[in-house]
Amino acid sequence: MAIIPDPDYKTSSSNFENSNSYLKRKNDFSGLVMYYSLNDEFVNGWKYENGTVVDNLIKSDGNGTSSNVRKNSKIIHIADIIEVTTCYLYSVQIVGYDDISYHEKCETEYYFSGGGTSTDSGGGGGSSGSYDYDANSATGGGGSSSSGSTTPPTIKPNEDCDPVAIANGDSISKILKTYDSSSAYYKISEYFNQLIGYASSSSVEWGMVINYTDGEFYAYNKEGNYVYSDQKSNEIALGYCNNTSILCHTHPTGKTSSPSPSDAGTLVYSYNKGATKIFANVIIAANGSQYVIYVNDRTAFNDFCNNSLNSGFYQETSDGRFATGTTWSNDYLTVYKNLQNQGYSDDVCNSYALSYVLDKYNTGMKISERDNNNNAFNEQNTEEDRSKTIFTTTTTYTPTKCD
Amino acid sequence: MKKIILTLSIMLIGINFVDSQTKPFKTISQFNGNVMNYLKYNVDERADYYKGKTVAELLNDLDIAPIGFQGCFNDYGTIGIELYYKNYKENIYSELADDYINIYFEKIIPDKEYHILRKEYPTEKWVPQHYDFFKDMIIKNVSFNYYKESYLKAKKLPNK
Repeated sequence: MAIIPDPDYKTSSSNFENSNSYLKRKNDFSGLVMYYSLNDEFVNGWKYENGTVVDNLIKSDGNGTSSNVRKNSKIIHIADIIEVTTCYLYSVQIVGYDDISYHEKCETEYYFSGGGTSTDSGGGGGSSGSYDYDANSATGGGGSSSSGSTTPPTIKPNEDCDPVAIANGDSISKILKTYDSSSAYYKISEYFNQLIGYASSSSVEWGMVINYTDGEFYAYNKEGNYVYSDQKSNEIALGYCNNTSILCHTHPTGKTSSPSPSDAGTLVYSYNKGATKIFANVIIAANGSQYVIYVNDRTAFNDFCNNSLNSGFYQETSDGRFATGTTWSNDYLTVYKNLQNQGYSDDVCNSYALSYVLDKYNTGMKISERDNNNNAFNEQNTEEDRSKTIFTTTTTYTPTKCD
Repeated sequence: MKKIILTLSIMLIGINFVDSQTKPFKTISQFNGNVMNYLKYNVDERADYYKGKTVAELLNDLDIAPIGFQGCFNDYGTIGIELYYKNYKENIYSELADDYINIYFEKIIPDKEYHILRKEYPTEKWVPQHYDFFKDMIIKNVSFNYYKESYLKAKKLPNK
């Protein structure tokens, strides 16, 4: 961590180094606070004026990083570009010689004020209080800033919705709602309503499977049961077969409401097992929200499943995320963190990061959401906006949803 | 009097127990060739007899041959099969209307092994290689098509 006071503040506060520390800033502090990883790589930084964060810092692509002891830094503020020159002191001693020679090397890096959207009080460590991906990245001090008590940003309405996605969402909605005759083999709606009840009342996942054959949708009977649970809070091993069309399961209280990457992976997995008519995976959350991952482009989906290079798509981690180190995982985490830093909730970060991956890799799958059983499923999309400057490219992801 | 009631009760319980354990196997001809009634009786009603036995023991008892099967899975592998004996509509598989039995295994079959079998020998047509693959699997549960009776009733279709 580096605390770099404004020249005026440094002049007026001679004891600034003792008054400002990792977790604490004096209420009149003005300057920059920059966090670095144990590898000396920039993690994030904040600009303070009179003890209040007024901006965040984004590093440019300009210069490389260093690995020596940070000696001192000075700032030159040019409009919204901050030039930070860091000097390192190092010593050289050759075996067999008594003399030690001392050297100084300075490097200049450029940072941008990030738009001043944060109202955080700064400080080291901590994320937004949701899934802490920084814990996996071993970045040491710093951590992301959270908006704390501020209202999360809203989802941008999407006016240019895919008619195929709308039709698919409507089809799924109809299957879940209208197949409820007095015949025992139907009862999809009745069982689905049972799942809605379990989602809010049970601490474990419950599920059911819908098959399709000979023009009929019906609940699949697994060893005598239509609705069942493995009594685990974060997984259920649904039974399905070649005729399976739709999978449904709950995400109980205390768990992420939105679908995990493994929920998309299950569709690919089941297709490759022989369930070639697989169409959708419905998630019923404890808060009443319902999500569906569905096959929106059958050709693209089949091609994706049949490509052996994609076999790792469903080899997820124990927490339902993509396997670490895969391109899907890297993209998912990038978008997740970007949305998290904008203040979005864990549910939004999770489902829109997944939505981004599904589109980027042309999986043929989409995600839609609805907030209760009576509404239509609305397609989610994640827009990617790259803004280039002379120094760097900044990418921002924006979640959008059809109405 | 109490002794008589107790004796009768024990006899009734004993008869029921013996009945479920020793219900005799019946041939297809005893059901006049009706596959549904044949499988319902021999497999569904005698399910307890087959639990813990191998798939080979069950299939060797039945005096009709399967026509095909479909796998039942979960995220860990193949958990069982639906073994079809007769299509309701000729050459069209229907999980609702056909005569098939559900066989669930004690042990899940790994994905890779099942995948190779399915690719080499499509499941729509039962071949000796399918028998060899499944014959040693221990039966956890077995039953007749769960849907057929209510499906025929709802659609007002004959049992044929």
